[in-house]
Parts: sequence; structure tokens; C-alpha cells
Amino acid sequence: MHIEVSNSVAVPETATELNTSQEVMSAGGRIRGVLLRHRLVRLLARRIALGVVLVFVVSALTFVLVSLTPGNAADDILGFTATRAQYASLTHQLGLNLPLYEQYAHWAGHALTGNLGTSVFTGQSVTQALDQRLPVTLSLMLGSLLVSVVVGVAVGVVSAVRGGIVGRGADALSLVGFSLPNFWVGAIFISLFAVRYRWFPAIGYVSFGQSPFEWLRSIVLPVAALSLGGIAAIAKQTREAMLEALGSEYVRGARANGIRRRSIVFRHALKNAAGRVVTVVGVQAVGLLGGTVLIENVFSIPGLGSLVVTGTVQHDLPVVEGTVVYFTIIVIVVNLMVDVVYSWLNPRVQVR
Amino acid sequence: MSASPWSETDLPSPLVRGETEGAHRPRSMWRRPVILCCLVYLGIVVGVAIIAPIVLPQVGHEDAGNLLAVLKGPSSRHWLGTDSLGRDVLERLLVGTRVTIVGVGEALLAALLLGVPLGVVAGYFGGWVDSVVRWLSDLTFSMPAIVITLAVLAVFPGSVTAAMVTLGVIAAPGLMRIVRSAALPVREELYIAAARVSGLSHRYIISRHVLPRISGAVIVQCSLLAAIALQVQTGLAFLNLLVPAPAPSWGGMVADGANEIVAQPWLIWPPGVAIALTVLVLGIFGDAVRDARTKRWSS
Repeated sequence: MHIEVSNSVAVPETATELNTSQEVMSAGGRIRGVLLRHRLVRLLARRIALGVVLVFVVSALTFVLVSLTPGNAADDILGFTATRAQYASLTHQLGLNLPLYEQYAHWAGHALTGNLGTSVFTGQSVTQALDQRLPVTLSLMLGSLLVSVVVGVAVGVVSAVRGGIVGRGADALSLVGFSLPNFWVGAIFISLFAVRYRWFPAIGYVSFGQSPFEWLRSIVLPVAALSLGGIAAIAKQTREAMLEALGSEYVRGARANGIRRRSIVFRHALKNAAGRVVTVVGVQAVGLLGGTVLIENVFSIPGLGSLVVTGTVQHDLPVVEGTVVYFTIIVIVVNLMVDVVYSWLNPRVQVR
Repeated sequence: MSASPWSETDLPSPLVRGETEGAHRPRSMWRRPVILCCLVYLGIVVGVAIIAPIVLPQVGHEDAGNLLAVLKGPSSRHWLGTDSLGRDVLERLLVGTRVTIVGVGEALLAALLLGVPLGVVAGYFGGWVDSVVRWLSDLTFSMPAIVITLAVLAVFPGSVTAAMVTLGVIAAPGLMRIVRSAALPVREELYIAAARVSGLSHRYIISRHVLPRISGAVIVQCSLLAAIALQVQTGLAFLNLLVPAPAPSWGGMVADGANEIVAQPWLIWPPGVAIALTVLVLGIFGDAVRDARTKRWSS
């Protein structure tokens, strides 16, 4: 077998060579080997690959779907009074006469460079419109995620440790929290805290840069309405996971060894329950993102959700497509972060 | 069994478990008071959805009611008050039940028709179908369902069926996964092997032995799915994307109430309570069936 001269930087060419000539592997190759063996990197690589596939699948599906629409964008732009020549030239200009896969390739090529087309109605660049509104939606989503996690975990831990009536109360609370539709809760909050007591503005959004205090006031009610479902779900999972952890052998052992109760609850049980909690937090983050669509419309907040609803009503397909892509990417990033936190909390995690 | 020369402790565990199961017959689950109450409530809702539009045919097309009595609170004449156009809220709530329930049914049907057969095949036979199902469910778990439903509505404006079938299709891989993991342990059971040895076909074994065993898991998942579908349907109706103007729907009535929130805060309550109560009952139903089921099958 031919073996490369040692100390050369050439990477072995075949798999057998790689096995037999470990010592001649270049430094770069060795680092790569170490990295590839690392669980987390493999997990992330797999997730990112799946995410890229997902963005393509979802955008292609949306694209096919949009092509099913009776009439096309040229009709929408020109209206009924256009001449046949105008229609033909605009169709050509928009590339609507090309086969579907070429249209998609064209769109995807532009999308990769950050160009998602222009809104049929406002003529604004879709990327620009989305980027403007992204921070609004993210602040709603992250704010309610924070509230859901803090309150949900607290309720779950307390109800698991105390048990009895407190535990049943937490169970009932999570069932009720799951049942109340967030847009209705939002309307109730407006009627109570904005119309009757005037503590908070009923609708609208103030950006953080404009006035941090007004920003906080403007998102308190929407975040509270959004968080209710998240709190319910996280409290339920935390409670179940904590009950399981508290009933396990190692907690009995720790208790027998005279370790303080507080330390058992937080250092031992909660740490072991955290994995399940993180999983449900990931699911809830995706749910909260969907919830922003409704909440933004209840509170007239100019985020991605109100944009996509307007786009849907106005039949503005580039806007809708662009929002689908943005939402998909946010969901993928959230799932990626959940995976990282999960494998950090639970070193035994296996790559599936 | 009693004639058997072996003592009970020598019996293989599946048979011991089979005997304890005999104590609760499968039917007993439906006699639990909680489950019965939920079923009665859901039955009433479905009944109203069928009957109300027949008994009150004019309500769905009514552009205005008594304009001299708009935004009234509950009274003996109008039990749940009147809306901004003087229409009776109770009548609209009853008639609006149909479009809401039909939407939920469409989503459930789509999820069931796709999810159960593929899930059973994946769990019972394994192989490439299994890998595809796992991959699909990984994929749809990261799909922003509501935005995709909105994209569908941009293409098919106002179509409840298109929106709810889309939701069902997106939810189907989740159901597949549940069905798969419920069917997987059944495949390993001795009685399945016995059925195979005695020459029964796969089709017969699946319908006679596998489906009854996974039905509990399917019911639990379906009640959860119905609860989510109800929230999505009412949410889309709240955004005025599903039901055109004069026709009532639960979500649309919340939107009407939200528009009059300053003048008459009462209006958001009747439709909101109807939605929340129905979701709550579906949630309790799912939990109760799950509890009953884990007690039956736990070994």
C-alpha cells in the first residue's frame, strides 16, 4: 500500500488509508477528527442539515401552492383594464411564463442573496419589510418565553414539592391555561387593564429605542396574554418531571445522607428534571411564535404576524412566502438552541 | 387455569397480566363519570352544530337585527344580549357552532386518514416506512403551522376546508409517531406471534389485535388535536379570514366583541367562554382517557 511521506500536509485519500496511517494524519485532519467525534458537533451538523432541507421543502411547497392560485400576480397588479400586450410584457418581466421549477430556482437564487422580491401592494422590498418587523415579533416571543419559563418552572417546582392542594391547584391552573385562547385573553386584558383601569395602552407598539419605559408598557399586556398557555404547559411538565425525580432512588439516598432539602430540590431533582423542561420549552417557543400572529392583531402591533395577515387578506403572495421563510428559520434556530441546551444539561444524550 | 398443575408464580408474565386485565373490562372506561360528562357535553355541541342552522335558518344571513336595541346586555328577551347590529348573541352563538365544529372535524379527519394507516404500517412492519415516518415527523415538528395555514388561505381565500385540512396534514406526522410507538410493542407480543403461526393474515391481525390496542393512544392524541384545531379555527375566524361577514362563527364573534370593547365589554364573553369550555372539555377528556388507559395496560 502506498503511504504518503510523513509530515506532509496531504490528507489521506481513502478510508483504509485513514485507518492505517493515523500517525501520518495532518494536524488539520486530526482536529477535524476530534471535532467530528464530538457528539454536540455531530448533533448540530445533523440539525442544521435538516434545517436547510426544511427551509427548501417549506419554501418549495409554498411556491407550488402559490402557483395553484387562479390568476397570477400580473392580474393582481394590472387589474381588469390592462391590454393584452401590457399583460404579456409584465408576465414576461415577472418570469411567470417560465416552467415552475425554473421560477422556483430563480426565486431561491434571489432568496439566498437576501432578496425575497417586492410586495405586490406596497412595492416595498419584502426583505426590508420583514427585517423592520422582526425585532418586534422577537421581543414579544422572547419576552413571553422568559415569563413562561420563570413562572412555569416556579409553579411546577412549588406544586411538586408541596403537593396536596397546591399540586391540584397547579394541575387545574395548567388545564385552564391551556384552554383559554390567547386572542380572547388579550381582549379581556384590554377590556380590564386598558379600558377600565387605564394602566396600560390598549393597542400599539413603541420601539425600545424611542422610549424604553413606553416600550415596556406597550408589551406588558400582549406578553401576559401570550404567556398564559406557555406557563400552563411548562408548569405541567416541570411538575411531572419533578415528581418523578423526587421519587427516585438517588433523592432517597441524598435524603438519607442528610443533604439539605433545598439542595436536594434544586441541585439534584431540578437538574435531572431540566431535560424534559427544556424539551417542552422548545415546543412552547414554537407555539408562542404562532401565537404572536393572533396577539399582534389583537393589540395592533406592527410585527411579522400582522404583516402576514395583511398579506393574506390582500393576496400579496411574495410577502406571505417571505414570512413563511422567516418563521421557518426562527423555528429552526429555536430548535437548535433547545438541542444545545439539552445536550449540555444531559451529557448522556445520544445522537439519533 | 385452575386445573393447571403449575402454581401461579410459574406462569409467564403476559398471562398473569392478562388475568388482571380481566378485572377491568374494556367497556368500563366509557362508564367513568368524567369521561361520560365530557362525552355528553361534546355530544350536545355536535348536536347544536347540526340542529341550530336548521331551526334558525335566517340567522346566518342576517345583516342587522333590531337596530333600536343594539349592544344590550343579557335580558329576558335576549338571554346573552345583542351585538352592535342588534342581533341576538345566543342565536348567533348556536348557529356559529357548525362552521367551528366542521373545521375541527376536517382537521381531525385529515390527520386520522393520513396518520393512523402510516403509523400502523411503520410500527407493525418497521423498515423504510418507519424511517420515512420518523423523518417526516422531525420535519413537520419544525413547521410554523399557523403561517403555513395563512399561506394556504392567501391562495384559497376564505376556505375553511383548505385551511383545516392543511392543519390536519401538518399534524398527521405527530399522530403517526404516536401510533407507531403504540403499535411497536404490540408487534412483540406473544399473541401476535401466535396469530401469525396459526396462519392469520397481517390485515386481520392489524384490525383485530393491533388497532384495538392502539385506539386509546389515538383517542388521547385526537382530543388534543381537536383542542388545537378548535383554537386555530377560532383564531383564523377571529382574523376574519374564514367566515364572510354576516355568517356567525365563535372566533368571528370574539372579533366583533373586541371591536366594541369600549362600548360593551360583555360581548367577548359568550363566544370566548364557548371556545374555552370546549377546549377544556377536550383536554379533560384526553387526560381521563389517558389515565384510564395507563391503568389498564400498566404491568
